Amino acid sequence: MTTITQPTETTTATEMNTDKYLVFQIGNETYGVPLLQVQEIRTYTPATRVPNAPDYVLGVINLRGNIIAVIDARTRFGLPPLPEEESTVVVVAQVSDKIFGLRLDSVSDVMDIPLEQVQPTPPIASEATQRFLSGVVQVGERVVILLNLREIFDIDALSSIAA
Amino acid sequence: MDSLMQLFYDEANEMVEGMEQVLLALESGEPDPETVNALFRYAHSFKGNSAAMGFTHLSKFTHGLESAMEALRKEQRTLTPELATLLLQAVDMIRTLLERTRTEGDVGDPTCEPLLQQINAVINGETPQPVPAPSAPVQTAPAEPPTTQGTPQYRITYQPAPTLSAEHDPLQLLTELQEYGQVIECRFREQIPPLEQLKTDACYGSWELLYETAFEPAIVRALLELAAEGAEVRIEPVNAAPTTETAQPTAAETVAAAPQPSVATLPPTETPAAAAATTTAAVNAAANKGEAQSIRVSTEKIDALMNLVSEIVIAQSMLSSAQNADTDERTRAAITQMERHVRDLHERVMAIRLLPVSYLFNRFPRMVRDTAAKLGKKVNFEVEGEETELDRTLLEALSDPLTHLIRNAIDHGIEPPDERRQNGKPETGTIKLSAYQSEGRIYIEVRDDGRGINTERVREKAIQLGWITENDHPSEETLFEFLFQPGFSTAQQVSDLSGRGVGMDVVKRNVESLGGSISVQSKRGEGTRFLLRVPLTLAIMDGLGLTVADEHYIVPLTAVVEAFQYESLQHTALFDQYEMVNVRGEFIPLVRLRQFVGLPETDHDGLIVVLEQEGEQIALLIDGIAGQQQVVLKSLEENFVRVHGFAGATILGDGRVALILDVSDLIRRGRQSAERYAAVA
Repeated sequence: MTTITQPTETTTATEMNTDKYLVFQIGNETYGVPLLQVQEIRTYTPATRVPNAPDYVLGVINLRGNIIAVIDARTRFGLPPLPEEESTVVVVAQVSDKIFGLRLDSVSDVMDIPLEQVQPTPPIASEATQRFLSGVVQVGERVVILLNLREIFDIDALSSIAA
Repeated sequence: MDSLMQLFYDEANEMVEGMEQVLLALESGEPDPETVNALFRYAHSFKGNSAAMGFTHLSKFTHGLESAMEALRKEQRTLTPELATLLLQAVDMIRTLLERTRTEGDVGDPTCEPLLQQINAVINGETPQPVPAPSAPVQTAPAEPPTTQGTPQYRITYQPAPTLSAEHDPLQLLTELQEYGQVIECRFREQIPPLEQLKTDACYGSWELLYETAFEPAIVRALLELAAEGAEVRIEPVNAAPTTETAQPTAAETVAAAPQPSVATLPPTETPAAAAATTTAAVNAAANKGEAQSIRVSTEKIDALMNLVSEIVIAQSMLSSAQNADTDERTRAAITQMERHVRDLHERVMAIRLLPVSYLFNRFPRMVRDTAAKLGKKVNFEVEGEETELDRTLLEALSDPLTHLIRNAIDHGIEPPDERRQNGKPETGTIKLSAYQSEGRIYIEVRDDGRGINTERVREKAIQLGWITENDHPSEETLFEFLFQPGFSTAQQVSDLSGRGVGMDVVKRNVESLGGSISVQSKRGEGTRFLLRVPLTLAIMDGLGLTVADEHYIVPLTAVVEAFQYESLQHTALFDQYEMVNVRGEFIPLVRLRQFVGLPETDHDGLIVVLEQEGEQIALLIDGIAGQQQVVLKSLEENFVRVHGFAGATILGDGRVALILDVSDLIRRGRQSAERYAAVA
């Protein structure tokens, strides 16, 4: 099920201090998450709805016997969700000691991101989504927006449905 | 520690527990010969195992114990309390020796020997026939190891069949003999013919053994005959004629027609490791009957297996759904068959991790006995629901809290016999430990019929501690809550057994760390009841699948009372949120599952499922029932949050997740309706 591709040739900056990032598209933008936090990438299987959960929580799925929540990246970013397609995947990531899934339309690449070149995020997004971003970096032609998975999952904000 | 050593300790601990249980069972009931045999077998295998590991002190002690129990077994003696206590002390001694062995190596304990002597004295002292049995004082021969007292000895002459074959291995026979007793002396004679007459496959040797065993001569004979078909075997009891004993070695020499007999003594410590394993001998096979056949597997391996099976289940469901009209018959049949097997596999693997609570409960009778004896109290200990299954890790974690609660019950709960008599109670108090599964949780209850909690004293203590003032008169419930606060102890004096620093607060913390809760009920003079509620994290439960729209929920089957058509009911609505339904003249609060899970209402026909928990009922309106199934409760909290209204989730056979409804939460919601109803009615 894992479909991570090899790093592309755009990563020529060998001298620099780099980290591998998983890169994908949401809408027109390119986003990246640290590959270290990514456990695996799975094809999307329908999640079980959790009553009273916020709309961006698609529900829970079974990950080899563990129950994990799946969050829809588009809904989280205030975009209308896209119907499920062949390319729809769930990126399974770990923040703190919890594992969760992030549903994406597709994943495209693994990139070496030069850490020195990461800029603070300009106010490109609404304030609500601003906290999901940890920086922005130009790699060749592409501008990659780096995501803060902890803020996206934001387990503390889910206390509204908690018992 | 290497794995062999670990295995030895695991097994040793199991055996110690087993011995203890057998002893306690013997004490309370008729001396069933089979249980005495079991006791003997434990001592015997213990000896074998520890000898195999080279723990001489352990094996020596257990050997002595074995001999003592053999006497007990032979004489069909009833276990007197005195003897039972001694034997239990022996079990403790084994524990001590085990611990020493683990920490300090092969060291003994000076009290071993006196204890054995005491046991033997008690057993022999009550022998009805005062016949000078083969007892220790007669045998002064220095060749005798000190532990052989009282065990019959035999002189065995063994001449293998002239033609040797693979089945007739003299060495194997000797090995086997060593398993059933002790070869004290072994003489080998050879009668080798001149070279030209020598046959390569013939046996020209014979053995003479001085053999000591607790088994009947008939068994020894059977053993020899079995192992040495066609051989010449002579068995003479030695102890029957003790006077000739000292003369025997010389006698043997005179008989010797052969040149020089070579003498070899097999030390008992060299019992091969095989001794611990089950042998083919019929005697042993019969003796092992009734023991569970099991192997030890680490839980990690089981978890890995479980996860893998879950993946297979998902893959299987993907395969099943990939079928279409073009799929040929053979593929279809294969998929169907595989579906069935995968489901079976899934179920079995899930069941592996579970253990009955008896695994834990079995430790307590001994503790109760000892504690009660120490405190001079009479306690009848009852256990119920031992077959309830629980995840192993959970069981382990419950050990300490339960030990504490039971000790407390004996120490503070149950009154001394005379006090009980004065209060018109039977002298013997009762402590009941029970386990059951309800609403998807495991309940463990410790109940005693003792003096109950003195709420007045609790209050005084709370005032003393400055938690409340003289003018406060908190409810009983609040007072009971104080018991679980750190720093609280009502025990007048700190006793040897309980109230030593570790208090109820620790019990509470332990239980809560398992995601459980603890509550107490008590009535002055009548008793106290502690109720532990623990989640069954991995416990399998029977669930009933409920559907609303296209969603699937599970309720624990134990909570389900009945189900019927909604339309058949007379139904009373109050306001729009609070509803009651009339079930055969009784009003039960109604909860609409669709509303509960945030789905739009429907005017379709529905079903009512009546759920009950601790005497409270609720009517749940659903769309349909999906059937009954075994489910494994999974935590939502582990990677997500605990979701209001749900006890957890489970994975259905097709790999999908279904949420498990929390009945107590539904009831709470229903109770609100009921209260509103009462307010207007």
